[in-house]
Amino acid sequence: MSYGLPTLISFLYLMVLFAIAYRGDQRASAVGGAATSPWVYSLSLAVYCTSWTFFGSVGLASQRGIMFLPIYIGPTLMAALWPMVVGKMVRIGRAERITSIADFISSRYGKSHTVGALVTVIAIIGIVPYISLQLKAVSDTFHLLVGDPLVHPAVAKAPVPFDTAFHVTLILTAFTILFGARRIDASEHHRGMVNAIAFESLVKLVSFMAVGALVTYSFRDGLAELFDAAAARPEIAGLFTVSGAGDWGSWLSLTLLSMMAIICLPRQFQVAVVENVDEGHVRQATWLFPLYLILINLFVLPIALAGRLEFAGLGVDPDTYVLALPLARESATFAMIAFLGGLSAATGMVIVETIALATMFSNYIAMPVLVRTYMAAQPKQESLSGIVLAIRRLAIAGFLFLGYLYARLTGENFTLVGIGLMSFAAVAQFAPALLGGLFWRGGSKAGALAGLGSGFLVWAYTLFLPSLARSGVLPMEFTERGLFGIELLKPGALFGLAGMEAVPHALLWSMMANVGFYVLVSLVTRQSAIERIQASLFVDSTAVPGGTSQFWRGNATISDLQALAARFVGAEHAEAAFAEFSRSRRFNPSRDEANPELVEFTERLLAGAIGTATARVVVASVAKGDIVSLHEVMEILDENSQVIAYSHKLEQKSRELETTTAELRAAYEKLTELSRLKDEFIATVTHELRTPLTSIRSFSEILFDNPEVDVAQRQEFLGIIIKESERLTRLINQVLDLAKLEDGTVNWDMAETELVQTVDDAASSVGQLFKDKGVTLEVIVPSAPVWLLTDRDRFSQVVINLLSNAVKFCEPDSGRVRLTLGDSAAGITIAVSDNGPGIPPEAQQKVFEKFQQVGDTMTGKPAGTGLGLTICRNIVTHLGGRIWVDSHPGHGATFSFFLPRTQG
Amino acid sequence: MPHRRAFRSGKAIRDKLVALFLLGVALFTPPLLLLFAGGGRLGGIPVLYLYIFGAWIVLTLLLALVVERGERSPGRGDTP
Repeated sequence: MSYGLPTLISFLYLMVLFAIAYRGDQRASAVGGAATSPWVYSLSLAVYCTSWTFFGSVGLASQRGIMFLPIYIGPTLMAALWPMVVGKMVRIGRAERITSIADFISSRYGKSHTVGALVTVIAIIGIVPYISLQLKAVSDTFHLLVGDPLVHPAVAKAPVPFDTAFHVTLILTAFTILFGARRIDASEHHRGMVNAIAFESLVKLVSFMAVGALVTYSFRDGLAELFDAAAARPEIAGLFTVSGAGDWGSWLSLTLLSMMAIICLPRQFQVAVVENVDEGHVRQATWLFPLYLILINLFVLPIALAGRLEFAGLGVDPDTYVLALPLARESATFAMIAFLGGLSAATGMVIVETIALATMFSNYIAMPVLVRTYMAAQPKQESLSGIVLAIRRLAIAGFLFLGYLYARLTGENFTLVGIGLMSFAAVAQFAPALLGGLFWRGGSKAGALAGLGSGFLVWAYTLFLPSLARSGVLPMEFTERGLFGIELLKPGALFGLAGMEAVPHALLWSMMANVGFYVLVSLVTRQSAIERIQASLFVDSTAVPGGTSQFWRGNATISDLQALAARFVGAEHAEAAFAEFSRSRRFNPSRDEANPELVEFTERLLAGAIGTATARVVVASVAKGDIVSLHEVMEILDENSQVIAYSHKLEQKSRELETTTAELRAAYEKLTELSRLKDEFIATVTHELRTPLTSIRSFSEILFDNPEVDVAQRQEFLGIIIKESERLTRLINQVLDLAKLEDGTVNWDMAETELVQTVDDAASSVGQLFKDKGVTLEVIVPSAPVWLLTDRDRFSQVVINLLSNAVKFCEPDSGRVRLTLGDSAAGITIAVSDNGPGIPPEAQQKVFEKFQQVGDTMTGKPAGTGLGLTICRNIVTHLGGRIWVDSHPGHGATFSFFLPRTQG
Repeated sequence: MPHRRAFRSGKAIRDKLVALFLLGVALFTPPLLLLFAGGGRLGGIPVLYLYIFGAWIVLTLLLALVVERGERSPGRGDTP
């Protein structure tokens, strides 16, 4: 293939990319940056997959089998924790207007310049090799595509102006500046860039899967055939297995490493946190991103195997199999597709990574210097936004050329994966300070500096410097014999820890130093006031009630603040922002004195453009005064936590009160009901008492007023008076009895009682009643004695009540009553049947209620007091049994009760 | 109190996600992986390869299930 076509297609591709970004930016400014889809967010996260994934995974898989996978499994595991970790970072990032990972860590540790600068330096040194990897991949594959294929091109040997990698660097520099540093934005979002990155992710996925499918199903006869062929070669079959503890050690450490990298890589932080516009997208990315990783890894092993089968002994670089396979089978279209996929993987990474690095560099290295020198010299200089823009452009160019330099210096000594892992290990140093700062309030600035610094030094000594030494930039001596010839300081086997691969070894030692110093120094140092405030903001992640502006003391004029903002974000934007602020807070702009809230607002406005630490410094230069003292900060924070604690307590109390109220209401309702019943009872009792009283009184009066009443009549009247008095006594006795039963003051005399005798005694005690009325009583009892634990007197009372009740309703002379005693294992049953008129069904439920008398109460005289059955029910219930009635009107009634043998 | 319930459902989702994270750790670390690392093949395809991708897909499906169900019915996060 000639130079012309691939060059043209590459340029067209970059143009399309730019058009997407440009449209995205236009639309974002039109609708205010809102309305993006979760798909775009998840796809933009796939900037994780660079040319390392696209070409390097196949290279690694062809040598080590499944060992290419932990780099993608780690992020999958981390994705499960995203709503907790990234979600929290997004919330904080939005509130604090975070622009980069350096900004985030610096802001957490008291908006410290030193921390931000250290993070920036680590990121730059760690990432430059990674950028060089992308340049190398693009230029190598381009060579392969156009030049003499299947032999390794000697790129590094060409003089710089004719070096393809150099051309690639130039082109990418121009494009990255177009994407990310066209103009200075007040906002930290790059809507257009994110859209372009999402598109690139789609392109590389489709391209890789297309090549994978082509290789598997067209060049070979499907997966099974491919694996069979591979298994037939002993040297390839080994790839299907994992052997040895060392391999598993690598597997674990690579998983861990990639888990940290997925949140600590500056470009991942950029797309996941800084560019996030909707927290809900994080949730969908939890599964969309792992899905992407699965898809893009599906064909890695098949391509690797096909490559080894195809190129056995030909010396083709395994990192180029993806492209070399279509080329070897002369499929120009698919070769071009593979190249474009690789190009999109590389450009996506380069664009986001260098923009993120440039932001960090300008905010934490260039800005502090600029602010200190330039602003002091010319305090009333017009605008700095032009200078900021220039710094960013230069930084982008600088990083790309550093990358080129690294690629040229290290030449062909490394695989894509080797370089990538080194960068991963560098950014992993951020993890303790980042995650610790997110969940541990005690992490301090000194601790973060100590951890980051020591971890970085160990990383540089064990991984970075050896990589330079191996490519001849540094003398090899220290890697082979240890620093100063001390064996224990050998970079590859620090303190004698030999036998590990370089990356796990470096990760182990650097993490030990990092975490160790971070925790130790945090524990022994004291936090300053601002560290305390920021720690509280980050860890609790909910806004401090009352706002953070309460921490700031100082005075400034509105015009000063606006002028300051204008210098960094442009006059037009500053004016609009200030107007919006005074409108939303109903702030009266006639007074020129700014309140703490406005000072804080200005700081945030600036933070989006120049980073939190610098923003704090420049605002402080205008707003005289400072943060309140540590003592006061503690007081405010304590007050706030107390307020929160109080409100929790109050909430609990009010819940308790609610339940108590409900209980009280229920009790009150019950009481009202009882009181109503009592009233009814008293009314009825009084009524029942009055009837016999009235009759006694009337007959006494007749006798008193008419002394001449003859003896026979007098006898009759006195008889009535005696009968009514008896009834009255009986009624009062029963009322007292019932009252005692109901309030539980009756003494129960429980004893083993022989029931046959008891029933007989009860029957004979009412025998006179039966004889008087001429009613037959038939008692049927078992021949054997029946024993039951019960109260003998109460038991007899029930039987007597039932018998006298029965006799009352029988017709004189023809009446018949039958009493039966039934005995079973469960208990005893007494039934009293009569042949009276019976009880209508609707009355059967009520006969046991107080003063419920069955019969025609209008004409017939009440036959009883209306309390007998109620007393019976009370006694039986108390003894653990039950009482009931069966009756068919006209055929008599049967009152029965049952007492169980075992009582609780 | 709707915000309370929303909070509770958010917490339920978080708990489930942490559980899935632990499941993932268990699936992709040596004790379980070792079972499949012997080099056996199923239908021509190495079982190790099949296992890793199978477990990966299942884990991703579960993640999707948890976050998507939790989102569609806010406040009913407690019901499985």
